[in-house]
Amino acid sequence: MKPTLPIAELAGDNWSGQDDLQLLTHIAQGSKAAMTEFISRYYQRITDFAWRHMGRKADAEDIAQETFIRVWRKARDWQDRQLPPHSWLYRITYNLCIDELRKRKPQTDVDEHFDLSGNDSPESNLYQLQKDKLLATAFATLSETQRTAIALCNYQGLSNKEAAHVMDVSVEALESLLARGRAKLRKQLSAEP
Amino acid sequence: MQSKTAKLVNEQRVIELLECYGGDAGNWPEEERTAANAMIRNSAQLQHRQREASRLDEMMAATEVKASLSARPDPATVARIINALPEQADSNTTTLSDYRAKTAHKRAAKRNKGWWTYGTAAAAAVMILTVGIMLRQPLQPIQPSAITAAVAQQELDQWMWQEATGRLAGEPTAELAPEDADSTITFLAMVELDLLPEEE
Repeated sequence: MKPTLPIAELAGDNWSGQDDLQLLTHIAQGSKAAMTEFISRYYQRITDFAWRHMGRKADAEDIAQETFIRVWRKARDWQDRQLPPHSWLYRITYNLCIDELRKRKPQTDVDEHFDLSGNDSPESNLYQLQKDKLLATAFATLSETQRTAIALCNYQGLSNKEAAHVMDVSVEALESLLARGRAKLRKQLSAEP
Repeated sequence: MQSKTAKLVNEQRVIELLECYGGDAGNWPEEERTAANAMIRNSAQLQHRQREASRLDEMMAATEVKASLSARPDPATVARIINALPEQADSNTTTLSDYRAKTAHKRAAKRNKGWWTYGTAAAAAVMILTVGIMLRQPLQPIQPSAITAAVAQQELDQWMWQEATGRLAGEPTAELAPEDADSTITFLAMVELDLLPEEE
């Protein structure tokens, strides 16, 4: 879809009225104002999603920054495939997380995931309660793909088709991951006192 | 109005939806939502399943703070990322659709190149397979009868040569007179065709 207005006519809050596709079109044309709006719209979600994979806030922020840099570079290459731009955004993030985890896998054990202590928690109180810690521990027992499927569908609000696209699996495979992941979570959480 | 896929929703599928997406119908696939809700309303067992799924949802929701996900980040954070963005080549002259059009032929060329690559690989595989089959087949043994027949034919030829020319086989034929050569060829042909008159 081509932009409805020239870039010069869009300024300030006008960007908030643009949908993701329009923003991405402007980003492909090199509009940093559109990119600013896009980052503002998705930074928190992308950081949260990456955090669930990486376990450390600093790593998640690095992943988020790299994600947006890739969006900036590759906006012209984006092909919608009947899916909204944010599923592409999550896919970039997911791939970056996988690459990063593969790099550091030999030095990282499961206990290091979801570091919940001290100043590493975000201001929004995520993972600060003891109940959250139990859930985070249960999450750490899931496979990487189960965790991703649940994070995308339960926490990020993606549809099954979008989540399947992000993970590059079929909807049936995604549902299998979700069902097994939730069953494992139920078992883990039911076992807690 | 029900979608086409909604007709496929049965009790088993509703259980799957609850196990995959939880008890909140808002998280179910849109095209199955209406039919699944209708089935749950009419089934006490499915209602029980939905309550169980919702209980797990509540436990899982402990870490979810939706307000934080929808919150906008600190402007300084956004500025840091914006400042780290690299240059975009030709950013002001090419639209997304223009770029797609420009790169369409490149993608087609890549696809064609792919076919050539696959073709070459297939040909190589066929050749390797053929050579493999040939190597696996045992060599055909020479039949003794064939050797005997060949030797007999050679001896017969030598005898006929000697009879016709008075020379041993292998002696140079250049010494033969043209008429001798002609008669030799004629004689050999008559022998081959079994046209010699029978001796009395």
